[in-house]
Amino acid sequence: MAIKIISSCTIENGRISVNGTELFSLESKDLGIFLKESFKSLDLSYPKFYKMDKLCQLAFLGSEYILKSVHQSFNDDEVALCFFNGRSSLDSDFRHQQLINEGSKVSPAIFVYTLPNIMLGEIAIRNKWYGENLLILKPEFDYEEWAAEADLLISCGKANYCLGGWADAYQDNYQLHLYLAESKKENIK
Amino acid sequence: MAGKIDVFLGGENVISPLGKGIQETFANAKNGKTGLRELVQPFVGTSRLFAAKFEESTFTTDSPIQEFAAESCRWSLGELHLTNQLEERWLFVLSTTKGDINHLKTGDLVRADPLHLMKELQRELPFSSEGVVISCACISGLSALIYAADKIAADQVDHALVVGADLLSEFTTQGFESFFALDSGQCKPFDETRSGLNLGEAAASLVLSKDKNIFKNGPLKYLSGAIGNDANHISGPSRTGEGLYRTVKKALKYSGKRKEAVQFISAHGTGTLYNDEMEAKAFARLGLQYTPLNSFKGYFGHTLGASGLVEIGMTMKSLRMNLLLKTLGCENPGTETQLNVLKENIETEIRLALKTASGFGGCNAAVLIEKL
Repeated sequence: MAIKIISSCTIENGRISVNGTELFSLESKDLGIFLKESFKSLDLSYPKFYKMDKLCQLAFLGSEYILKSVHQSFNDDEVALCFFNGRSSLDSDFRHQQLINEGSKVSPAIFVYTLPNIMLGEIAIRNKWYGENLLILKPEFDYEEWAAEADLLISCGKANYCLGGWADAYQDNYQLHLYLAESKKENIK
Repeated sequence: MAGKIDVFLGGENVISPLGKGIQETFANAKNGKTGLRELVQPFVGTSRLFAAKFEESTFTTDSPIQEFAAESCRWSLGELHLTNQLEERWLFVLSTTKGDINHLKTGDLVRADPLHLMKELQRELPFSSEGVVISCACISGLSALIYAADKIAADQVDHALVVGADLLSEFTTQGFESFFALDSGQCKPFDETRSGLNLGEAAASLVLSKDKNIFKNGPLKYLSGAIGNDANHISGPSRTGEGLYRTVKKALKYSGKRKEAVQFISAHGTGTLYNDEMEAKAFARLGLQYTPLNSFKGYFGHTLGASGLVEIGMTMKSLRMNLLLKTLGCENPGTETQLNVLKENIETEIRLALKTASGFGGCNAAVLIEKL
Protein backbone atom coordinates (compact mmCIF):
# COMPACT_ATOMS: atom_id res chain seq x y z
CA MET A 1 0.00 0.00 0.00
CA ALA A 2 1.34 3.39 -0.94
CA ILE A 3 -0.32 5.35 1.83
CA LYS A 4 0.81 6.14 5.32
CA ILE A 5 -1.59 6.70 8.21
CA ILE A 6 -0.85 9.96 9.99
CA SER A 7 -3.50 9.53 12.64
CA SER A 8 -6.50 7.35 13.44
CA CYS A 9 -9.54 7.50 15.66
CA THR A 10 -11.89 4.81 16.89
CA ILE A 11 -15.23 5.39 18.56
CA GLU A 12 -17.12 2.36 19.84
CA ASN A 13 -18.48 0.87 23.04
CA GLY A 14 -18.53 4.22 24.81
CA ARG A 15 -14.86 4.94 24.15
CA ILE A 16 -12.95 7.34 21.95
CA SER A 17 -9.35 6.45 21.15
CA VAL A 18 -6.85 8.33 19.04
CA ASN A 19 -3.82 6.40 17.80
CA GLY A 20 -4.63 3.68 20.33
CA THR A 21 -4.82 5.99 23.34
CA GLU A 22 -8.18 6.34 25.04
CA LEU A 23 -9.14 10.03 25.30
CA PHE A 24 -12.74 9.83 26.40
CA SER A 25 -15.11 7.26 27.81
CA LEU A 26 -18.64 7.32 29.09
CA GLU A 27 -20.86 4.45 30.15
CA SER A 28 -24.16 5.34 28.53
CA LYS A 29 -26.51 3.21 26.55
CA ASP A 30 -27.91 6.35 24.96
CA LEU A 31 -25.88 7.31 21.88
CA GLY A 32 -27.28 10.85 21.88
CA ILE A 33 -25.93 11.47 25.40
CA PHE A 34 -22.59 9.88 24.60
CA LEU A 35 -22.12 12.06 21.51
CA LYS A 36 -23.05 15.27 23.31
CA GLU A 37 -20.82 14.56 26.30
CA SER A 38 -17.85 13.68 24.14
CA PHE A 39 -18.41 16.85 22.13
CA LYS A 40 -18.31 18.88 25.36
CA SER A 41 -14.99 17.29 26.22
CA LEU A 42 -13.54 18.81 23.04
CA ASP A 43 -14.28 22.25 24.49
CA LEU A 44 -15.28 23.58 21.11
CA SER A 45 -17.72 26.31 20.26
CA TYR A 46 -19.60 24.97 17.24
CA PRO A 47 -23.38 25.24 17.69
CA LYS A 48 -24.04 23.50 14.35
CA PHE A 49 -23.10 20.25 16.08
CA TYR A 50 -26.42 20.23 17.91
CA LYS A 51 -28.39 20.40 14.67
CA MET A 52 -26.69 17.33 13.22
CA ASP A 53 -28.11 13.82 13.31
CA LYS A 54 -26.26 11.08 15.16
CA LEU A 55 -24.36 9.81 12.13
CA CYS A 56 -23.04 13.28 11.35
CA GLN A 57 -22.22 13.95 15.00
CA LEU A 58 -20.26 10.71 15.14
CA ALA A 59 -18.30 11.43 11.95
CA PHE A 60 -17.76 15.05 12.98
CA LEU A 61 -16.35 14.00 16.37
CA GLY A 62 -14.02 11.49 14.74
CA SER A 63 -12.69 14.13 12.36
CA GLU A 64 -12.23 16.66 15.18
CA TYR A 65 -10.33 14.22 17.37
CA ILE A 66 -8.07 13.26 14.46
CA LEU A 67 -7.37 16.83 13.35
CA LYS A 68 -6.69 17.90 16.93
CA SER A 69 -4.04 15.19 17.16
CA VAL A 70 -2.05 16.21 14.10
CA HIS A 71 -1.31 19.93 14.59
CA GLN A 72 -1.19 20.44 10.88
CA SER A 73 -2.91 22.82 8.52
CA PHE A 74 -4.11 21.87 5.07
CA ASN A 75 -4.78 23.69 1.84
CA ASP A 76 -8.50 24.00 1.24
CA ASP A 77 -8.54 21.60 -1.71
CA GLU A 78 -6.03 18.91 -0.85
CA VAL A 79 -7.97 16.67 1.54
CA ALA A 80 -10.29 14.06 0.05
CA LEU A 81 -13.12 12.81 2.24
CA CYS A 82 -13.76 9.13 1.57
CA PHE A 83 -16.24 7.39 3.82
CA PHE A 84 -17.67 3.89 3.95
CA ASN A 85 -20.92 3.40 5.77
CA GLY A 86 -23.16 0.41 6.40
CA ARG A 87 -26.72 1.42 7.01
CA SER A 88 -26.72 4.69 5.11
CA SER A 89 -28.72 7.38 6.91
CA LEU A 90 -31.17 4.83 8.34
CA ASP A 91 -31.43 6.53 11.72
CA SER A 92 -32.75 9.76 10.18
CA ASP A 93 -34.65 7.85 7.48
CA PHE A 94 -36.53 6.11 10.26
CA ARG A 95 -37.42 9.36 12.02
CA HIS A 96 -38.61 10.94 8.75
CA GLN A 97 -40.64 7.83 7.86
CA GLN A 98 -42.19 7.75 11.32
CA LEU A 99 -43.55 11.27 10.88
CA ILE A 100 -45.03 10.23 7.52
CA ASN A 101 -46.57 7.10 9.03
CA GLU A 102 -48.12 9.13 11.85
CA GLY A 103 -49.53 11.62 9.35
CA SER A 104 -47.50 14.38 11.05
CA LYS A 105 -45.78 17.26 9.31
CA VAL A 106 -42.31 16.20 8.22
CA SER A 107 -39.34 18.33 9.15
CA PRO A 108 -36.78 19.68 6.69
CA ALA A 109 -34.27 19.62 9.57
CA ILE A 110 -34.65 15.83 9.70
CA PHE A 111 -35.12 15.23 5.97
CA VAL A 112 -31.84 16.90 5.06
CA TYR A 113 -30.03 14.21 7.05
CA THR A 114 -31.64 11.34 5.13
CA LEU A 115 -28.55 11.10 2.92
CA PRO A 116 -25.32 9.47 4.10
CA ASN A 117 -23.02 11.99 2.39
CA ILE A 118 -24.25 14.84 4.57
CA MET A 119 -21.58 13.92 7.10
CA LEU A 120 -18.95 14.73 4.47
CA GLY A 121 -20.64 18.09 3.95
CA GLU A 122 -20.53 18.81 7.69
CA ILE A 123 -16.81 18.08 7.84
CA ALA A 124 -16.17 20.09 4.68
CA ILE A 125 -18.08 23.08 6.11
CA ARG A 126 -16.29 22.88 9.45
CA ASN A 127 -12.84 22.85 7.84
CA LYS A 128 -13.63 24.92 4.72
CA TRP A 129 -12.51 22.06 2.54
CA TYR A 130 -13.46 22.12 -1.15
CA GLY A 131 -11.81 18.79 -2.02
CA GLU A 132 -13.03 15.42 -3.24
CA ASN A 133 -15.98 13.58 -1.63
CA LEU A 134 -16.72 9.87 -1.96
CA LEU A 135 -19.37 7.91 -0.06
CA ILE A 136 -19.63 4.14 -0.52
CA LEU A 137 -22.10 1.82 1.18
CA LYS A 138 -20.54 -1.44 2.35
CA PRO A 139 -21.94 -4.31 4.40
CA GLU A 140 -19.05 -4.03 6.86
CA PHE A 141 -15.76 -2.24 7.23
CA ASP A 142 -12.60 -3.62 5.69
CA TYR A 143 -9.58 -1.41 6.30
CA GLU A 144 -7.70 -2.74 3.27
CA GLU A 145 -10.59 -1.81 0.98
CA TRP A 146 -10.68 1.69 2.41
CA ALA A 147 -6.89 2.07 2.12
CA ALA A 148 -7.14 1.06 -1.54
CA GLU A 149 -9.68 3.85 -2.20
CA ALA A 150 -7.59 6.39 -0.30
CA ASP A 151 -4.52 5.28 -2.22
CA LEU A 152 -6.31 5.69 -5.55
CA LEU A 153 -7.56 9.21 -4.71
CA ILE A 154 -4.04 10.24 -3.73
CA SER A 155 -2.09 8.40 -6.41
CA CYS A 156 -4.27 9.63 -9.28
CA GLY A 157 -3.55 13.18 -8.17
CA LYS A 158 -6.97 14.16 -6.83
CA ALA A 159 -5.79 14.76 -3.28
CA ASN A 160 -2.67 14.91 -1.13
CA TYR A 161 -4.44 13.59 1.95
CA CYS A 162 -7.45 11.42 2.56
CA LEU A 163 -9.62 11.60 5.66
CA GLY A 164 -12.21 8.92 6.14
CA GLY A 165 -12.89 5.31 6.92
CA TRP A 166 -16.01 3.90 8.49
CA ALA A 167 -18.86 5.74 10.20
CA ASP A 168 -22.08 3.95 11.00
CA ALA A 169 -24.91 4.75 13.40
CA TYR A 170 -28.40 3.42 13.84
CA GLN A 171 -30.44 3.99 17.01
CA ASP A 172 -27.99 3.30 19.85
CA ASN A 173 -25.61 1.16 17.78
CA TYR A 174 -22.59 2.87 16.33
CA GLN A 175 -19.05 2.36 15.18
CA LEU A 176 -16.40 4.67 13.81
CA HIS A 177 -12.92 3.99 12.47
CA LEU A 178 -11.39 7.06 10.90
CA TYR A 179 -7.98 7.63 9.40
CA LEU A 180 -6.00 10.51 8.03
CA ALA A 181 -3.72 9.21 5.29
CA GLU A 182 -1.05 10.67 3.07
CA SER A 183 1.17 9.36 0.32
CA LYS A 184 3.94 7.08 1.56
CA LYS A 185 6.46 8.11 -1.08
CA GLU A 186 7.11 11.66 -0.01
CA ASN A 187 6.08 14.14 2.57
CA ILE A 188 4.10 16.67 0.62
CA LYS A 189 4.59 20.08 2.03
CA MET B 1 -4.34 13.04 -15.21
CA ALA B 2 -2.52 10.15 -13.65
CA GLY B 3 -4.48 7.21 -15.10
CA LYS B 4 -2.46 5.55 -17.80
CA ILE B 5 -5.28 3.61 -19.40
CA ASP B 6 -7.84 5.27 -21.67
CA VAL B 7 -11.46 4.81 -20.63
CA PHE B 8 -14.29 4.44 -23.14
CA LEU B 9 -18.01 4.88 -22.58
CA GLY B 10 -20.94 3.33 -24.36
CA GLY B 11 -24.10 1.28 -24.05
CA GLU B 12 -25.88 4.25 -22.52
CA ASN B 13 -29.50 3.60 -21.68
CA VAL B 14 -32.40 5.29 -19.95
CA ILE B 15 -35.65 3.74 -18.74
CA SER B 16 -38.06 6.39 -17.56
CA PRO B 17 -41.70 7.44 -17.82
CA LEU B 18 -40.63 9.36 -20.96
CA GLY B 19 -39.62 6.21 -22.77
CA LYS B 20 -38.33 2.71 -22.62
CA GLY B 21 -34.76 2.66 -23.79
CA ILE B 22 -32.51 5.45 -24.99
CA GLN B 23 -33.82 5.50 -28.60
CA GLU B 24 -37.44 6.02 -27.65
CA THR B 25 -36.52 8.37 -24.82
CA PHE B 26 -34.32 10.58 -26.99
CA ALA B 27 -36.85 10.60 -29.84
CA ASN B 28 -39.63 11.64 -27.45
CA ALA B 29 -37.48 14.36 -25.92
CA LYS B 30 -36.54 15.59 -29.38
CA ASN B 31 -40.25 15.96 -30.15
CA GLY B 32 -40.74 18.03 -27.02
CA LYS B 33 -42.51 15.35 -25.00
CA THR B 34 -42.05 15.00 -21.27
CA GLY B 35 -42.44 12.20 -18.75
CA LEU B 36 -43.83 14.71 -16.27
CA ARG B 37 -47.56 14.96 -15.63
CA GLU B 38 -49.99 15.80 -12.88
CA LEU B 39 -50.54 12.86 -10.55
CA VAL B 40 -53.71 12.77 -8.49
CA GLN B 41 -53.32 11.43 -4.96
CA PRO B 42 -50.01 9.67 -5.61
CA PHE B 43 -49.59 9.19 -1.86
CA VAL B 44 -51.95 9.33 1.09
CA GLY B 45 -50.95 12.81 2.23
CA THR B 46 -50.39 14.29 -1.23
CA SER B 47 -53.46 15.27 -3.26
CA ARG B 48 -51.67 16.52 -6.38
CA LEU B 49 -48.10 16.28 -7.57
CA PHE B 50 -46.42 17.21 -10.82
CA ALA B 51 -43.89 14.44 -11.31
CA ALA B 52 -42.65 11.63 -13.54
CA LYS B 53 -43.95 8.23 -12.51
CA PHE B 54 -44.23 4.91 -14.31
CA GLU B 55 -47.71 3.42 -14.70
CA GLU B 56 -48.26 0.87 -11.91
CA SER B 57 -49.27 -1.75 -14.47
CA THR B 58 -45.75 -1.68 -15.91
CA PHE B 59 -44.49 -3.91 -13.12
CA THR B 60 -45.18 -7.43 -11.99
CA THR B 61 -43.39 -7.55 -8.61
CA ASP B 62 -43.46 -5.42 -5.47
CA SER B 63 -40.07 -3.97 -6.40
CA PRO B 64 -40.47 -1.74 -9.47
CA ILE B 65 -37.04 -0.18 -8.92
CA GLN B 66 -35.39 -3.57 -9.17
CA GLU B 67 -37.34 -4.29 -12.35
CA PHE B 68 -36.54 -1.06 -14.17
CA ALA B 69 -32.92 -0.95 -12.98
CA ALA B 70 -32.38 -4.56 -14.08
CA GLU B 71 -33.97 -3.82 -17.43
CA SER B 72 -31.67 -0.88 -17.98
CA CYS B 73 -28.65 -3.06 -17.17
CA ARG B 74 -29.80 -5.68 -19.69
CA TRP B 75 -30.16 -3.03 -22.42
CA SER B 76 -26.68 -1.69 -21.73
CA LEU B 77 -25.13 -5.15 -21.79
CA GLY B 78 -27.03 -5.89 -25.00
CA GLU B 79 -24.96 -3.14 -26.62
CA LEU B 80 -21.74 -5.06 -26.07
CA HIS B 81 -19.82 -7.78 -27.88
CA LEU B 82 -19.12 -10.08 -24.98
CA THR B 83 -16.92 -13.11 -25.40
CA ASN B 84 -13.74 -13.55 -23.41
CA GLN B 85 -14.39 -10.22 -21.67
CA LEU B 86 -16.84 -12.08 -19.47
CA GLU B 87 -13.84 -13.61 -17.73
CA GLU B 88 -12.13 -10.27 -17.12
CA ARG B 89 -12.33 -7.99 -14.08
CA TRP B 90 -15.76 -6.35 -13.82
CA LEU B 91 -16.99 -3.68 -11.49
CA PHE B 92 -20.69 -3.16 -10.89
CA VAL B 93 -21.75 0.16 -9.39
CA LEU B 94 -25.25 1.07 -8.25
CA SER B 95 -25.86 4.77 -7.78
CA THR B 96 -28.87 5.58 -5.66
CA THR B 97 -29.95 7.99 -2.97
CA LYS B 98 -32.65 5.87 -1.37
CA GLY B 99 -32.82 2.49 -3.17
CA ASP B 100 -36.06 0.58 -2.58
CA ILE B 101 -37.19 3.10 0.03
CA ASN B 102 -40.88 2.15 -0.09
CA HIS B 103 -40.05 -0.90 2.01
CA LEU B 104 -39.06 1.35 4.90
CA LYS B 105 -42.70 2.21 5.42
CA THR B 106 -43.54 -1.38 6.30
CA GLY B 107 -40.38 -1.78 8.36
CA ASP B 108 -38.69 -4.18 5.95
CA LEU B 109 -35.19 -2.93 6.63
CA VAL B 110 -33.52 -5.65 4.59
CA ARG B 111 -35.24 -4.73 1.35
CA ALA B 112 -35.04 -1.01 2.06
CA ASP B 113 -31.23 -1.34 2.21
CA PRO B 114 -29.58 -0.14 -1.04
CA LEU B 115 -26.97 -2.89 -0.65
CA HIS B 116 -29.75 -5.45 -0.96
CA LEU B 117 -30.92 -3.88 -4.23
CA MET B 118 -27.35 -3.85 -5.55
CA LYS B 119 -26.90 -7.56 -4.74
CA GLU B 120 -30.21 -8.48 -6.37
CA LEU B 121 -29.17 -6.65 -9.55
CA GLN B 122 -25.66 -8.07 -9.44
CA ARG B 123 -26.98 -11.63 -9.29
CA GLU B 124 -28.53 -11.24 -12.75
CA LEU B 125 -25.31 -10.17 -14.45
CA PRO B 126 -23.62 -12.59 -16.86
CA PHE B 127 -20.19 -12.06 -15.26
CA SER B 128 -18.85 -12.10 -11.74
CA SER B 129 -18.13 -8.63 -10.42
CA GLU B 130 -17.14 -6.51 -7.50
CA GLY B 131 -20.31 -4.72 -6.39
CA VAL B 132 -20.43 -1.24 -4.92
CA VAL B 133 -23.16 1.22 -3.93
CA ILE B 134 -22.40 4.91 -4.21
CA SER B 135 -24.78 7.26 -2.44
CA CYS B 136 -23.82 10.90 -2.63
CA ALA B 137 -27.14 12.73 -2.98
CA CYS B 138 -27.81 14.21 -6.41
CA ILE B 139 -24.25 13.73 -7.69
CA SER B 140 -24.42 9.96 -7.05
CA GLY B 141 -24.64 9.10 -10.76
CA LEU B 142 -21.59 11.12 -11.75
CA SER B 143 -19.74 10.04 -8.63
CA ALA B 144 -20.34 6.38 -9.62
CA LEU B 145 -19.16 7.09 -13.17
CA ILE B 146 -16.00 8.85 -12.00
CA TYR B 147 -15.32 6.11 -9.46
CA ALA B 148 -15.55 3.42 -12.16
CA ALA B 149 -13.44 5.42 -14.61
CA ASP B 150 -10.68 5.98 -12.06
CA LYS B 151 -10.62 2.23 -11.31
CA ILE B 152 -10.21 1.39 -14.99
CA ALA B 153 -7.62 4.12 -15.58
CA ALA B 154 -5.59 2.72 -12.67
CA ASP B 155 -5.83 -0.81 -14.10
CA GLN B 156 -7.74 -2.13 -11.10
CA VAL B 157 -10.64 -3.35 -13.23
CA ASP B 158 -11.15 -3.86 -16.98
CA HIS B 159 -14.82 -2.97 -17.41
CA ALA B 160 -17.60 -1.47 -15.36
CA LEU B 161 -21.37 -1.47 -15.55
CA VAL B 162 -22.79 1.56 -13.79
CA VAL B 163 -26.51 1.89 -13.11
CA GLY B 164 -28.39 4.66 -11.34
CA ALA B 165 -31.91 4.27 -10.03
CA ASP B 166 -34.33 6.00 -7.70
CA LEU B 167 -38.06 5.89 -7.10
CA LEU B 168 -40.65 8.60 -6.93
CA SER B 169 -41.50 7.97 -3.29
CA GLU B 170 -43.65 9.43 -0.60
CA PHE B 171 -40.45 9.64 1.45
CA THR B 172 -38.62 12.05 -0.86
CA THR B 173 -41.75 13.87 -2.05
CA GLN B 174 -42.73 14.85 1.47
CA GLY B 175 -39.16 15.83 2.23
CA PHE B 176 -38.83 18.15 -0.77
CA GLU B 177 -42.30 19.54 -0.05
CA SER B 178 -41.17 20.48 3.44
CA PHE B 179 -38.44 22.57 1.80
CA PHE B 180 -41.06 24.21 -0.46
CA ALA B 181 -38.80 23.11 -3.30
CA LEU B 182 -41.46 21.62 -5.61
CA ASP B 183 -43.13 23.38 -8.52
CA SER B 184 -46.84 22.55 -8.69
CA GLY B 185 -46.63 22.59 -12.51
CA GLN B 186 -43.96 21.83 -15.09
CA CYS B 187 -40.52 22.88 -13.79
CA LYS B 188 -38.82 25.75 -15.64
CA PRO B 189 -35.05 25.37 -15.30
CA PHE B 190 -33.14 28.67 -15.73
CA ASP B 191 -36.37 30.53 -16.55
CA GLU B 192 -37.02 33.92 -14.98
CA THR B 193 -40.24 32.57 -13.42
CA ARG B 194 -38.83 29.25 -12.23
CA SER B 195 -40.26 28.24 -8.89
CA GLY B 196 -39.07 24.77 -8.02
CA LEU B 197 -38.25 21.28 -9.16
CA ASN B 198 -40.29 18.23 -10.14
CA LEU B 199 -39.36 14.79 -8.89
CA GLY B 200 -39.16 11.73 -11.10
CA GLU B 201 -38.21 8.10 -11.17
CA ALA B 202 -35.91 6.42 -13.64
CA ALA B 203 -32.99 4.11 -14.15
CA ALA B 204 -30.04 4.78 -16.41
CA SER B 205 -26.96 2.74 -17.13
CA LEU B 206 -23.81 2.66 -19.19
CA VAL B 207 -20.65 0.66 -19.59
CA LEU B 208 -17.09 1.88 -19.13
CA SER B 209 -14.22 -0.10 -20.54
CA LYS B 210 -10.53 0.00 -21.36
CA ASP B 211 -11.45 -1.90 -24.54
CA LYS B 212 -13.19 0.19 -27.19
CA ASN B 213 -13.97 -2.86 -29.30
CA ILE B 214 -16.36 -4.16 -26.68
CA PHE B 215 -19.03 -1.69 -27.87
CA LYS B 216 -21.26 -2.57 -30.82
CA ASN B 217 -21.98 1.11 -31.39
CA GLY B 218 -18.82 3.24 -31.39
CA PRO B 219 -17.92 4.42 -27.89
CA LEU B 220 -17.12 7.89 -26.64
CA LYS B 221 -14.06 8.76 -24.65
CA TYR B 222 -14.14 9.62 -20.96
CA LEU B 223 -11.75 12.53 -20.52
CA SER B 224 -11.94 13.39 -16.84
CA GLY B 225 -14.10 13.76 -13.80
CA ALA B 226 -13.88 15.69 -10.56
CA ILE B 227 -15.86 16.17 -7.37
CA GLY B 228 -15.74 19.02 -4.91
CA ASN B 229 -17.62 20.43 -1.96
CA ASP B 230 -19.08 23.92 -1.47
CA ALA B 231 -17.91 23.93 2.16
CA ASN B 232 -20.82 26.25 2.70
CA HIS B 233 -24.17 24.74 3.65
CA ILE B 234 -25.71 21.24 3.77
CA SER B 235 -28.93 22.09 1.92
CA GLY B 236 -28.53 25.57 0.41
CA PRO B 237 -26.53 26.06 -2.78
CA SER B 238 -23.48 28.29 -2.53
CA ARG B 239 -24.25 31.94 -3.37
CA THR B 240 -21.01 32.27 -5.31
CA GLY B 241 -20.91 28.90 -7.07
CA GLU B 242 -17.46 28.37 -5.58
CA GLY B 243 -17.71 24.58 -5.22
CA LEU B 244 -19.01 24.00 -8.75
CA TYR B 245 -16.51 26.51 -10.15
CA ARG B 246 -13.60 24.71 -8.55
CA THR B 247 -14.95 21.30 -9.54
CA VAL B 248 -15.26 22.16 -13.24
CA LYS B 249 -11.82 23.80 -13.10
CA LYS B 250 -10.35 20.57 -11.75
CA ALA B 251 -12.08 18.47 -14.41
CA LEU B 252 -10.70 20.75 -17.13
CA LYS B 253 -7.22 20.54 -15.60
CA TYR B 254 -7.32 16.74 -15.42
CA SER B 255 -8.45 16.51 -19.05
CA GLY B 256 -5.75 18.88 -20.31
CA LYS B 257 -8.47 20.74 -22.25
CA ARG B 258 -9.10 24.47 -22.31
CA LYS B 259 -12.53 25.82 -21.53
CA GLU B 260 -12.90 26.86 -25.17
CA ALA B 261 -13.00 23.18 -26.12
CA VAL B 262 -16.31 22.69 -24.27
CA GLN B 263 -19.09 22.87 -26.88
CA PHE B 264 -22.06 21.88 -24.77
CA ILE B 265 -22.96 21.82 -21.08
CA SER B 266 -25.58 19.52 -19.65
CA ALA B 267 -26.18 21.40 -16.41
CA HIS B 268 -27.91 20.22 -13.25
CA GLY B 269 -30.68 22.83 -13.69
CA THR B 270 -33.29 21.67 -11.20
CA GLY B 271 -35.55 24.69 -11.59
CA THR B 272 -35.15 26.03 -8.07
CA LEU B 273 -34.33 29.69 -7.69
CA TYR B 274 -31.04 29.23 -5.89
CA ASN B 275 -29.62 26.16 -7.60
CA ASP B 276 -29.94 27.60 -11.08
CA GLU B 277 -28.50 30.95 -10.01
CA MET B 278 -25.58 29.20 -8.35
CA GLU B 279 -24.83 27.32 -11.57
CA ALA B 280 -25.11 30.51 -13.63
CA LYS B 281 -22.56 32.21 -11.38
CA ALA B 282 -20.17 29.28 -11.53
CA PHE B 283 -20.34 28.92 -15.33
CA ALA B 284 -19.92 32.66 -15.86
CA ARG B 285 -16.87 32.67 -13.57
CA LEU B 286 -15.49 29.83 -15.66
CA GLY B 287 -16.02 31.85 -18.86
CA LEU B 288 -18.60 29.33 -20.04
CA GLN B 289 -21.59 31.69 -20.11
CA TYR B 290 -21.74 31.66 -23.93
CA THR B 291 -21.47 27.87 -24.27
CA PRO B 292 -24.77 26.21 -25.28
CA LEU B 293 -26.29 24.76 -22.15
CA ASN B 294 -29.39 22.83 -21.22
CA SER B 295 -31.10 21.10 -18.35
CA PHE B 296 -32.83 17.77 -18.99
CA LYS B 297 -34.96 18.06 -15.84
CA GLY B 298 -38.02 19.22 -17.82
CA TYR B 299 -38.13 15.82 -19.55
CA PHE B 300 -37.56 13.52 -16.57
CA GLY B 301 -37.96 15.58 -13.43
CA HIS B 302 -35.20 15.28 -10.89
CA THR B 303 -34.45 11.58 -10.72
CA LEU B 304 -31.95 11.99 -7.85
CA GLY B 305 -29.46 9.11 -7.81
CA ALA B 306 -30.29 8.29 -11.42
CA SER B 307 -30.14 11.87 -12.72
CA GLY B 308 -26.40 12.11 -13.42
CA LEU B 309 -26.54 8.93 -15.49
CA VAL B 310 -29.85 9.78 -17.19
CA GLU B 311 -28.41 13.10 -18.25
CA ILE B 312 -24.99 11.88 -19.31
CA GLY B 313 -26.77 9.18 -21.34
CA MET B 314 -28.80 11.90 -23.06
CA THR B 315 -25.63 13.93 -23.55
CA MET B 316 -23.90 10.96 -25.16
CA LYS B 317 -26.84 10.54 -27.48
CA SER B 318 -26.71 14.26 -28.30
CA LEU B 319 -23.07 13.90 -29.29
CA ARG B 320 -23.82 10.86 -31.41
CA MET B 321 -26.75 12.58 -33.17
CA ASN B 322 -25.16 16.05 -33.34
CA LEU B 323 -28.38 17.34 -31.85
CA LEU B 324 -28.60 19.51 -28.77
CA LEU B 325 -31.97 19.48 -27.03
CA LYS B 326 -33.71 22.53 -25.66
CA THR B 327 -34.33 23.12 -21.98
CA LEU B 328 -37.95 22.04 -21.83
CA GLY B 329 -39.91 24.44 -19.63
CA CYS B 330 -37.57 27.38 -20.08
CA GLU B 331 -39.10 30.14 -22.19
CA ASN B 332 -37.32 33.23 -20.95
CA PRO B 333 -33.94 32.48 -19.41
CA GLY B 334 -33.75 34.62 -16.33
CA THR B 335 -30.88 33.91 -14.04
CA GLU B 336 -29.24 37.11 -12.78
CA THR B 337 -26.03 36.00 -14.40
CA GLN B 338 -26.83 35.21 -18.02
CA LEU B 339 -26.21 31.89 -19.68
CA ASN B 340 -26.66 30.56 -23.22
CA VAL B 341 -29.66 28.38 -22.34
CA LEU B 342 -30.92 26.32 -25.29
CA LYS B 343 -34.54 27.28 -25.99
CA GLU B 344 -34.76 25.31 -29.24
CA ASN B 345 -33.21 22.08 -30.45
CA ILE B 346 -30.07 22.75 -32.45
CA GLU B 347 -28.40 20.50 -34.99
CA THR B 348 -24.70 21.11 -34.73
CA GLU B 349 -21.50 19.11 -34.86
CA ILE B 350 -20.21 18.71 -31.30
CA ARG B 351 -17.23 16.77 -30.07
CA LEU B 352 -16.81 17.62 -26.43
CA ALA B 353 -19.35 18.02 -23.65
CA LEU B 354 -19.37 18.87 -19.97
CA LYS B 355 -21.87 17.31 -17.58
CA THR B 356 -22.29 18.70 -14.08
CA ALA B 357 -24.39 17.98 -11.01
CA SER B 358 -24.75 19.46 -7.56
CA GLY B 359 -26.47 18.16 -4.47
CA PHE B 360 -27.30 18.23 -0.79
CA GLY B 361 -24.27 18.05 1.41
CA GLY B 362 -22.71 20.75 -0.79
CA CYS B 363 -21.35 18.25 -3.29
CA ASN B 364 -20.61 19.02 -6.96
CA ALA B 365 -19.43 16.81 -9.80
CA ALA B 366 -18.16 17.48 -13.31
CA VAL B 367 -17.41 15.05 -16.13
CA LEU B 368 -15.93 15.72 -19.58
CA ILE B 369 -16.58 13.36 -22.46
CA GLU B 370 -15.48 13.48 -26.08
CA LYS B 371 -16.24 11.85 -29.40
CA LEU B 372 -13.51 9.64 -30.75
